Amino acid sequence: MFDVMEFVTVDAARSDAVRTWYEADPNRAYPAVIARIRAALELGGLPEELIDRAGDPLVAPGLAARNFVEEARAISPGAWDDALAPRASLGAKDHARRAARRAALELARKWFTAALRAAAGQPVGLHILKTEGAERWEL
Amino acid sequence: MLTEDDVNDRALVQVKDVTWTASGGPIPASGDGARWAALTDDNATVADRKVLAWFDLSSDRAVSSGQPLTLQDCEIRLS
Repeated sequence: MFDVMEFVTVDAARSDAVRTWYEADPNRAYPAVIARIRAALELGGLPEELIDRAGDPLVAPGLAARNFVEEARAISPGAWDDALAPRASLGAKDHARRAARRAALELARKWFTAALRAAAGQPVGLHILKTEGAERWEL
Repeated sequence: MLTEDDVNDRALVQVKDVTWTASGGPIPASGDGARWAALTDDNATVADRKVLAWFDLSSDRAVSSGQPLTLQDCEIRLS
């Protein structure tokens, strides 16, 4: 199981009674969640970390997980490799691959934040830090 | 859910999930399914409401009477 809490630290100064803020280093978070997505696609089934049991009772707990998997399947497999490389590694006119890379990174971020929300079980904020070398994750 | 993304110099707000359950007929009541969801202000006059954001539902969505229509993880980008 993907434990999103391994990739975040609590920002206590920013948190309050309503919301807990977390910080994440994209150099750790993106590779981990992309590897997780690829594994989830290979394994099949619903990713446990996205099943939000504390969410809206009118919404099936696995609905978001199923939607995430469907969205991930719609992304071309090569885009996950491209997502791990800087945008500049793709040609400026290679619009299709750039768009696919962007979609992969956006889905990775959403997957990560959904997992964080489910794990925290309460309103959360996520601060993606601009750590050294983080430019490689620019969309 | 709030996200501050310093890598891409933007902030993202994820809207609370909302569910409508169709009662007495389908949603929408007629025509094609709903392709877009619009977030508006709460002006008492519906026709005067301002659209704040819109969301692409990726295909025409419809539910029959008794079934729920859920908008989940809709996101607004601020940058």
